Amino acid sequence: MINVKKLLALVIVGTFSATVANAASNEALIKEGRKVFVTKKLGNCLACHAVQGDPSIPQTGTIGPKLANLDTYPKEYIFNKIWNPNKTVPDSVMPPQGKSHKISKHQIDALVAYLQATTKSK
Amino acid sequence: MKRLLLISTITVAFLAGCAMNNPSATNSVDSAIANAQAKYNKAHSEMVAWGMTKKTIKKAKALAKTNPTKAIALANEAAYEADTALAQSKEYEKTWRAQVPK
Amino acid sequence: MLKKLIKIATISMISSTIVFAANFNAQAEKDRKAFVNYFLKKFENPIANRAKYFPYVPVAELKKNYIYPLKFQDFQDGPMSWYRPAKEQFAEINDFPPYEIPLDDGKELFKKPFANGKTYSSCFPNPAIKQNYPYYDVHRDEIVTIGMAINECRVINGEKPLKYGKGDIAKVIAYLADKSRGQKIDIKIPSANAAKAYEAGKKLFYKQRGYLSISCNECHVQSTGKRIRAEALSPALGSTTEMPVYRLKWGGLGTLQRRLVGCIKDTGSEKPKMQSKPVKELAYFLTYMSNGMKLNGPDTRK
Repeated sequence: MINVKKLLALVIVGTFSATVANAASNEALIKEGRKVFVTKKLGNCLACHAVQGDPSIPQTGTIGPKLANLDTYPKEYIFNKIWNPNKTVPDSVMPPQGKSHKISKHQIDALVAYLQATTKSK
Repeated sequence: MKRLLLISTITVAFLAGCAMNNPSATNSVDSAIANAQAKYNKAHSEMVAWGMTKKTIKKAKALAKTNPTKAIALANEAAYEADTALAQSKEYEKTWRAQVPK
Repeated sequence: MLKKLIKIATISMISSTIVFAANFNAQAEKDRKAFVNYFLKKFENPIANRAKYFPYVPVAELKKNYIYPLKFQDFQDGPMSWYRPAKEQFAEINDFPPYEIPLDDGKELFKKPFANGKTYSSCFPNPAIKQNYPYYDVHRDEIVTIGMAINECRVINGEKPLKYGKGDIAKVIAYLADKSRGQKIDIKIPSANAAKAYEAGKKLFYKQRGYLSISCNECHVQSTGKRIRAEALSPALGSTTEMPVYRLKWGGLGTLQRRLVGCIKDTGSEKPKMQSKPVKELAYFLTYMSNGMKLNGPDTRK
C-alpha cells in the first residue's frame, strides 16, 4: 500500500515536472522563432511581413501580408509554406528558405511555434 | 569448400560493411568532392550557381584529410545547392516570360 | 522572263531587308511601352488601386507617405519619386550633394593630359554622349558600355585601363554624365544580334535566381512602391538615369555595372564579373526600358 502511494506521488510529480519542462522548452522555441524572424542573416521575415500581436518588431516591410490568426492553420501547412512557398504559389516572391537550406528544419519549427503563439486569433 | 565460401562471403560482407560504415575511406571523400565540383562547374557555367557553393567546396577540400566525415557532409551540401540551382533554373526557364508586363 | 524574275526576286529581297531592319526593336518597343504603362498605372492612384498593386500597405501609410500621380520623368528619382519620407530626407542631403567632390575630380581627370599629351577629349570631343550608352556596336558585334569606351580611350593613348566599378572610372563617367544631364536616353537595337542581346538581358532581369529565388523584377517592378524593412523599393523605370550614383552605403561613387552585380549577389547568386557579357546585356535591356527619359546623374541614393 505504501509502495503504491509512493508510486502515485512519483507519477504525479513526474508528470508535473514534465509539463513544466515542456512549457519551458516551448517558451524557448517561441523565443528562438522570434529571433529567426527578425534576424537578417537568418529568416529575415520582417523584411516583408508585420506580425499581429508583436508590434514591437521595428520597421517591418509591406511586401507580404501582416501575419495573423496563424493558430487556425495546421502546423504542417505553415511549415511547408516557409519551406517552399513556390510549391503552392509558383510565382510567389517569397524565398524558399527551407528548400535552399538557408534556415534549418528546427528553425522553421521555431518560426511556426512563434507565429502560432503570437498571432492567436483570440 | 562450402566452409571456405561461407568464410569468404562473411569477410567480403564485413569489409563492405566497414567501407559503408566508414565514410573516411579516401575514395568516398574524393568522389563526394568530385561530384560537388562537377555539379558546381555546370551551375557556374550556366551562371546560376549560388553564392556560397564554391566556398563550401573549398572548405570540404581543406578538410578532406583531417576530417573526412565533415568534408563529405560539406561536399554533399554543395552538390545539393548546385543541383537545386540547376533545377530551379530549368523550372523558371519555363515561367519567366509570364512575369513580363503585357 | 528570267530577267524579270531576277528583278522581282531582288526587289523583294531588298524590301524584306528594309522591313527586318526596321523591326529589330519591335519586341523591345512593345515591352518598353507595357513597362512604362505598368509604372504609370501603378502610381496613378495607389489608394483607389490598392487591392491590385499595394494589398499589404496600410491605407494610412498610402495616404500619409505616397506621392502620386507620377509622370514619366518623375521616375528618374528612384525611391524618392514615390516615397515622401525618402524624398524629404534626400532633399536635405542634396543641399550639399555628396557627389560634388568626386565630380570635380572627374572634371580634372578628364582634362588632365595623358603621357602622350592628349586628353579624353581626343576620344570624346563632345562629352554630352551618355544618353547613347550602352550601345550595340554592329561592327564589333558586341555591347559597348561607357566604362569600356573610357578604358579603350586610355589604352589607345598608351595608358593602363582603370579598374571598373568605382574610383577614377566612376569619376570620369560622372563628368560625362553631368555634361549629358537633361539629354534623353536613346538606346538603339540595330541588328538581329543586338535584339538577341536585349532578349538575354531581359531574361536575366525577369528570371528568378539565387538561393532566395528572386529576380530583379520581383523587387524593382512588382514590389516597387512597397517597403523592404524600412527601405522604399526603387522603380526599375528610370533606374539608369542617376548613374553613376553616390550611395551612402558605399560612401562613394559607383557605376551602373557595380550596382547591377551587387543586386545579382543579393539574390543569393554568385557575383558575376563587371563588364561580363550577361551584365552588359542586363544594362542594355534596363537602359532601353528608360528610353526617352532625361538623364539626371550623378545623383545620390541610400
